[in-house]
Parts: sequence; C-alpha cells; structure tokens
Amino acid sequence: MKILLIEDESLIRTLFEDSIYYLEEMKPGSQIELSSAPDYFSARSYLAEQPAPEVILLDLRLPRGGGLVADDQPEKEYGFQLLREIKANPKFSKTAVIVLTNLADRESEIQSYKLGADSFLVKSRVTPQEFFENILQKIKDISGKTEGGE
Amino acid sequence: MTALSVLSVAYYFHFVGALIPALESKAVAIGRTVRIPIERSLDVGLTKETLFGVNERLADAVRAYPDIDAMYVTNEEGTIIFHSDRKKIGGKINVGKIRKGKKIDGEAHTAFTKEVTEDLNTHRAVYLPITREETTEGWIGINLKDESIKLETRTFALRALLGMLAAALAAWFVASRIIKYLIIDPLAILETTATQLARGNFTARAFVLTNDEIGTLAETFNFMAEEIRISHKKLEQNIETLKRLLEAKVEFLQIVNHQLRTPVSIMNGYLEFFRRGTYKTLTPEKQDDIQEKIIAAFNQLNEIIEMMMEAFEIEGGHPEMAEETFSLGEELMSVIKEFEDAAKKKNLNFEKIIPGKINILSDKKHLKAIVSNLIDNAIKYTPPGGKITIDLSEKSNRAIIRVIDTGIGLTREDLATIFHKFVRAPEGKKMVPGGSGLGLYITRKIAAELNGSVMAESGGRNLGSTFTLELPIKKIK
Repeated sequence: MKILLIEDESLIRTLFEDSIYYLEEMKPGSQIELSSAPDYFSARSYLAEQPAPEVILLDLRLPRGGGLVADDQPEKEYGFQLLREIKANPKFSKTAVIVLTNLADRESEIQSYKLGADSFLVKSRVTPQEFFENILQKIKDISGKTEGGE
Repeated sequence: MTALSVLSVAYYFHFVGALIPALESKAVAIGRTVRIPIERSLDVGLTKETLFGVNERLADAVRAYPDIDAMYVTNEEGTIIFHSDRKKIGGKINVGKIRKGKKIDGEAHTAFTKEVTEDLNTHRAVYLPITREETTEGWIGINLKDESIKLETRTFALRALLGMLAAALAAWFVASRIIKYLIIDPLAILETTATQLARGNFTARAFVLTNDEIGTLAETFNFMAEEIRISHKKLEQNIETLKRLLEAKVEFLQIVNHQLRTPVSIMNGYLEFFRRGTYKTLTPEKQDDIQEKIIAAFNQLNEIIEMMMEAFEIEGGHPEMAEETFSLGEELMSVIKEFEDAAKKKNLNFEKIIPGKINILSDKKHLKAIVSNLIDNAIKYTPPGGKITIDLSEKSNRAIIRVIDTGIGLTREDLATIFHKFVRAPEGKKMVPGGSGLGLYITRKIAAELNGSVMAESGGRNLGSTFTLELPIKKIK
C-alpha cells in the first residue's frame, strides 16, 4: 500500500520510516510503501507525477516550499490549501486523506472535516505504529469483506 | 402693611391739606365776616342778627362741603362763639393744644390739625387762627367727617394695595424672566450637555454665555467634558494596546503548544517500541539509533521549554540585569572551553583572538549565555572540517565580540528574519531539525538589555556567517 506522508519536520518523517521498518520486520507481507514530501510545492509535484496513493497523511502546518522565506506566522494555510486541492481532484477520489497534525484545536479539526478530510489525528496522541496497525487492520477488514469474509 | 399704613397716613394729611385751600378761602371769607362782629362784640356787644348770620354762614359752608361735619369760631380762650350747629355755641375747646397739632401750610395761611375727642367720638379738626397784627384773637375750627376720610383712606389704601400688587406682579414677571435667562436656560443647557456626554458624545459642550456663577460652572463643566473626552480616548487606546498584547500572548501560547508537541510526538513514537516490547528485537545499531533519537527529542523538548520561558519573560518586560566588573577575555575563554568537546566531535577548528585585559561592567551570566548561543549556532551550522573564529576587540569604549564561521551562511531573506521569534533559516532547519527558533531572538533582546547590539553578516549560501556582538565597556543604566 502506498502512503504519502506530507510533513515538514524531518524528525517526524524519520520516525515514520523507523516505525515502518519495525512493521516490516514484524509483519512480513505488510508491504507498506512510504513516500514523503516536506512542503506544499514538493507534495504537489509528487501528486502530479505519481499515481494516486491509497493514503495521504497531511500535516496542516506546511511551508510553501519553493524557496519562500519563513515569517512569524505558522503556515497553516498551505495545509488546508493542499487539502482543498487534493479533495477537488478526481484522481484522488479513492484516496484516504488523513490530517495528521499537532494543531490540536477544535477549529482546525472542524475546518479539516469541512474540507473533506477522512480523519483528523493529533501527532502527539497517536504513534505511527498505532496508526499503521489501524490502517492495516482496516484494509484487512475491507479486503476480507470483498473476498467474502474470513 | 407698614408701607400701606405709612402711605395712607401720608395721603390722609395730603388730603386734609388739600382741603385747606378750599376751606381757606371760605374760612378767610368767614373770618373776615366774623372778625368784624368779634371786634364789634368786644366793643359793642353782639346783636342777635349778626350772631345768627354768622352761624347761618357756617351752616351753609358745612352743607356745601360734604366732608365737613361742623364749623365754628372760638375766641382766644376757646369759647365757641359761633357754630354751624347753634346748640354747640358756648362750648369750649382746648386752644392750648391746638398749636401742638400738626401744622399745615396753606397758600396764605397756616392751619393746625389734630384729632379731637368729643362725646366719646374722635374726629379730625382743622384750626385756622384769626389774627390781628400777629395776635391770635380766635380760632376757626372745622371738624372733618371721619367716614369720608376713612372711605377716602380706604379707597386709597385699596388702590395702593392694587397698585402694589400690580407692581409686585410686574416685578415677579420681570424676575421670572431674569431667572429664566440667567438660571433656567443655562441649567437646561448644562443638562442637555450632560445627557449628551452620558450618551457617549464626548464633543458636546455647554454654551453658556452669561458672565456669572453659572457661566463659570459651564466653563468648568466644559473643561470636565474635555478631560472626559481625552481620558476616554486614552482608555480606548489602552484597550487597543491590551487587546494587541493579549493577541500576541495567545499566539505565543499557540506556537508554544505546537512546538512542544513535536518532540513529544517523536518521543512517544519511539517509546512505542518499549511499550510493545519490540525494542529487544531490534539490532544493536537500531537500538542505539532509537535511543539517540529519544534523547535528542527529550533535549529538544527541554530546550524549547527553557527558551519559551525566557522569551516570555523578556517579552513581558525588562528582566533584571546584574552588574559586576569582570574580565571579558577570561569569561569568553571559559565559554569557548565548554564547547571545545562538541567542536572536536564535529572536527571543527576553534581560532581565538582574545587580547588579555578588557574589563567590562555588565551582567556576567547573561553575557555568557548570549555568547554561548552564538558559538552554539556556529558549531551547529558549520559542516565538519570547518573553522570557527572568536575575536574580541575594543573600539571607542565598546567591546566587540565576533563569532565567524565557515558554515552554511545566510541568504538575504535569512538575514532579514532570523532574529524574529520562532524563525529558523530553512537551510539551518534542514541541517539541524528541531530547534525552537528563539535563540537569536532572545540573544538580541538580552544584548539590548545590556545596552549593546548583535548583528549578522554573511557572504551568502555556504560562505559562512559572522555574528558581531557589541557591548559598552561601562554599562550605563
């Protein structure tokens, strides 16, 4: 399964990679392919060039990328902007878009769902391992159902 | 009532006095007629006819004048020798008291008037003297009717009363006009203005032009209104300032909250290995790796917490700066020493250009902290094999500390923003993820508190950076 992680903190990206490493170790055949993009621009190029992933993990606090100077404001708007664009694109109609952020306020949550997010997760509350487990479980359930139960 | 009685008495006498000219002529005529019989009577005795004639004339006079009750003639001793009422002839009046009465000056003669009591009746009498060559030989007495006088007096009193009433009404009317103009209207103006002020119109003013106490009150009132307007404006400005400060604080907290969650997420994520008991299944290299990452995340968390508090306090006001004299060179050396290991690990070369004696009066702890920040940054952002130079010099009473590295350098955009709160240069962020973005912000603030300054220069990407810290040798507070 292809998962695209759009996250600007490199340490978090590393954490996810390490967590998958563990999964792949412990669960042979999980076959999770994790790609990542650190900002809005690079995420857009990836999504434009690559086939649609099954899951997109999107951080709200996303810098624009492309050489823009950071300012004092948290760049909330690019996360939402990207969310809007992904949801508007029919290419990703089958893709689960999960907002994975540390902006744990209700406003962000409401806004995310409004813009079409499938789920809203707070990074400091969910570990990558838990997340992957859930994902794999869900896929198992779905494929289990389509295959006529197990 | 006193005025009334005074007026009526005055009029009374005036009235009586007005009678005199009329009576005078009659009296004179009668006197002239009478004198001859008196003379004759003294000489030859009075004849019946003569006597009767005089009495008749007196009676005529009384009939002619409705105000006269009786008229009579007395001799010098007061015996009545002629009377309009013949029955009264022979009576006596007290002539001694006549001259004690009120004197009335007629046109040609002087009369006397007094109240006379006779048969339990009191009436007013007027006496004209009959004189021959300055000797008073007798008196002509005229008794006036009380009622008519009383009526006249009453009528006059009534008229006087009405007049006074009218005058009082007129005065009242004028007074009320005056009160309206001077008091009611100005007070109404003040009331309207006060209502306006209460409604929030702070430009309302009372336009009272009278030059009296109320005018002064209005002036004072207007001063008060102006003060209200000014302080209201100040209040609004203060509220605006407070609002902005509050918003800034809220934003700060939001960023703090967010920034703290990142290292927490990382620690949490790696601790999952421990929770699931899979840590021991990892290879030793992987174990070390994960261990390092957890520690790094923890340190990052710590650093962010420390920096947050410092920045919060600095923003809130002016932190206390201590003052002591110390050798700048010595303290710099001790800071450098603390970083020597880290530099060595990264294979970085330290070059120190520190002359011996530069003494400074400043806050040792804070100064060392900001120099540490600069050196720490230099080490962080210089790739292995690079060089870090620390240079101390003195120029025109200022100490100049330069930290020069051969690291990743700063672009023009970086230079414009790295001293801002929470800003990290993107290149630096890539190289060293997980910083708070507050280091240089705090450094600059503290430098300012020490009456110094810090600035950055760079030739550009990968051309190294120079951070210059300037401080006054003598801290003037």
